[in-house]
Parts: sequence; C-alpha cells; structure tokens
Amino acid sequence: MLLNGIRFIKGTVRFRVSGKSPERLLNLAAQRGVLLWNAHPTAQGMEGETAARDYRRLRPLARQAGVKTKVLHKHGAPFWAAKYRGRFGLLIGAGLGAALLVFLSQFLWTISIVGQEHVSEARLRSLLAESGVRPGAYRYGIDTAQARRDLLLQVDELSWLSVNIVGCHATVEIKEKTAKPELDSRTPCNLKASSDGVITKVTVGEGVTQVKTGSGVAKGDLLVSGVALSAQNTVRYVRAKGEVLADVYSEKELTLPKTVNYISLTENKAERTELRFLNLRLPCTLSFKHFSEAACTETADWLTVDRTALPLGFVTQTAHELRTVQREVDEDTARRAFSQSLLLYELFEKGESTRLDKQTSVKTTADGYTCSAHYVFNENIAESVDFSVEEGYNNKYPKKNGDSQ
Amino acid sequence: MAKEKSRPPQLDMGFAPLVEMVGNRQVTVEGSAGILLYENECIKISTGRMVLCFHGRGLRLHCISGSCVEVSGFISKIEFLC
Repeated sequence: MLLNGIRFIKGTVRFRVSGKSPERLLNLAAQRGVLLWNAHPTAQGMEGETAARDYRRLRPLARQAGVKTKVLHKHGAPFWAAKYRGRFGLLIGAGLGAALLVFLSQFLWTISIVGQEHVSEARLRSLLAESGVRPGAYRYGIDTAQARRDLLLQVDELSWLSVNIVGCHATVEIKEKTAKPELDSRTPCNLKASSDGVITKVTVGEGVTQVKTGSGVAKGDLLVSGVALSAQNTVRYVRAKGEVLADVYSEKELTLPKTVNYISLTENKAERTELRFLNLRLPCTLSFKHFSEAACTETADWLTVDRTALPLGFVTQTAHELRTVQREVDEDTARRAFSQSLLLYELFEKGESTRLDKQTSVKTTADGYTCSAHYVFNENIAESVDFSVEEGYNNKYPKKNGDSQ
Repeated sequence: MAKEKSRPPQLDMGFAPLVEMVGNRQVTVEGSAGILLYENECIKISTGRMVLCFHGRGLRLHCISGSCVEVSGFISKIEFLC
C-alpha cells in the first residue's frame, strides 16, 4: 500500500522491450542503479515497469543493449499534473481552498449540549456564549476551564459540567443536580386560621382540635393545637396536621379608566435579511425604513447537515411599526374586561377554593369604572405555625416563636 | 606464552551468493552479476563463479537492483552450473 502510494507520487511507466537480448538491458539497468519491477518475458521480448524519472535513464541503456523500448502506459501524479500544467487557475484555486480549509478549522463551528433535562438549552447556550464558547469563536482562544467555572456558578441546577472541544465541534456534557426531596419537618406546630370564616368541616390527622363545625373564627385563631396530653397526663408536642374548611368572605375591587392607551401593530414593517457565517454578516436586502417605536422579531434558517445546524444561514430581522392608540371605553367593554379579570382571579388566585357565592356591581365614576366583586369561598384556612419548646419551661405553656402559646 | 585458542575450521565462502527461498514460489539472490537468460520457464543468473539456473513455470523477475534479484513463480528445479 505504502509502496503503491510512493510509486503513484513519483509516477511509473510501463514499457515494452523488443530486440535480441532484453536480459542485457536488465543487467545494464541493474549496474546503473535503475530500478525495474514486474519485468516479465513476452512473445515480443519483455515488459516491465520503472519510475518515470528512471525511464529517461533507461533509453540510452536500451541503445547500448541493442534493444528498443516503447512506453505502454503512464501512471501517477506527475502525468496527472502535467495535464493541468497550463491551467494556473486550478492550482491557485486548490491552494486557496486548502488555505481556507486550514483557516476555517481554527474556529468553533458547532456546539452540542448533552445530558440536559430540566435546564433550558437556550439559557445554557447564552451563558456559554458569554463565556466565549460560541460558534465562530477562535478555537485556541477558548478557556474551557473558565467557561466550566462560570456556568457552574451561574446555573444552580448543575452539579457537574465539562466542555470538550474536538476539532471544530464543542460538546458540553452536563449533569443536573438531583431534586431535593421534601422532608417532613419534625418541629412541633399548631394550625391557625389564615382568614376569618365559618368552619364547615374539620379533618385532623394529628393534634388536638380546638374548633367545631359551625363556629366562627378570626384570622390567627388556633384551630388545631400541637400540644397534646397523653393518657398519663404528660404533655406531648406534635406537629399538627389537618384540613379545616371554612366559608370565607372575600372582596375584590377593580378599576378601569374611561380612556385607555394601548399599543398596536401597524401594517408597516421593515425586513432585513443577512447571510451569517461564523462571525461574518453579509446584508442581502436593504431597507431604509426606520420607526420611532417598533417591535422586532428575528427568524433564522440555518443550514443543517445530519441534524447538526451549521453556523451558515439566513437571518431575517423584521421590525413592525408600533402605534399608540387612545380609545374611549364604554360600559359594556368595561364589564367584559372586569368579567375576564375576575375569571382570571378565580382561576389562578382561588384555584383550590370552591366558589359558593359571587356578586358583582359596576359603578361609573368621573374617572372611569369601578367593579366590586363579593365572593364567598369554601377553602382550607388551616395554616401551620411552628413553635419551639425550651427545656425547663412550664410544659403547659410552651414558648413559640416570639409568641405565647 | 599465552595459549592460543584453537579456532574451529571455518568455511571460506568468498563471494558466494546468498540465496533465500520462500517455499518454491520466491527466491532472492544476493550477489548477482547479471541475468543471462530470461524466459518464462528458465532464468539464469550469473554470480561470478557460478551460474544459478531456475527452472519452472511462470517465472518472472519481481525486482532487480545492483546485486539483488528476486525471482517469483513456480520453481521446479535449481541448477548450479560451475
């Protein structure tokens, strides 16, 4: 294989020897150091192979030996290159291509992130770019150890990270931290009312119930005590658990001015497309429109090879003109807006509560509209309040966090 | 007087050629002085004091350099002509 490669680079000539004694040519060639191979006798004489350079030396030897030589086949790089001798463009192009290849291989082309499950890939890529690990960065100027330290400091969810650069591709391997399990606290606590209400149902897992169904409670009242007496009349401190459902009255007030200003998109837009390659940006379209207020969007169409996006593609930035519109709000519109806001309030702020009653009233004032919503929710009002117990203190009245039991 | 060690009698090979064979398929001759005959069935190589004659089928000179010749093919007989 190696020998064939060397022969290809040097170039070989297959020739025929015809005459009385071709052996004489073999001897003369051997004496003068002309290397021949694959020499075999034929009906006309002999055939053999030699290096292209040695064939020139072989011809005077053939005359001396009284035989004639004829080239049968030329093979190798020198003959191939001779075809393109006059075409300098090809040579220059090949040289430039090789130089470009060497130049471009100095930069990072692609980055892949392995092992990410919950952390956003876009966030990681953004932080990596801040640390210098981005497509188009000079490969030998990247401090992978520094990038690793930066990312571990900035992303709390990561427990381990490694940046490996192989060729023009960087692989960022990460391992996320295992989520901390929620441990049941063993600190004794009471359950207290988080708001005023009327108790409708009491379900206690642990602790001593202090309220009954139907009784009214104020915010902060003790519902389930964490101080329990055992059968031997000794005090035991427990972590009170339970659910205390109560009917709770709630008010919500919303206001809306009669005149509102909002921003809307107009039909005017300016598109600018540019060709991006590593750090190079070439504008493909020109747009001279400028808007005082605009919303910008960016879409990218990267060249993808085998599911790997290369840093070559078209990026289109579109600026949409924004216009501030002033609008008078009538009562119907205000009611609809209030209705939607209240629906969101019920859905997101009182999602775990059951709505029992709802009354709304909309009033028109000089400035705008005011909506008052009166609700009755049935919800769990039990709220855990920890307390600490000090040794030597009267067991009957344990001291809690800055407050007396 | 120091006793001279008795040396074993050595065979003086002089300019005898070195012939290396791989089965009957390949022969390398070092010390060749020239090719006398080159045919498919017979190759004669001069080594100065003697002539090596290889008989067989499909004989060919695989490689020739200053003093080394490599013969390949099916060799059936070797003659030493002095």
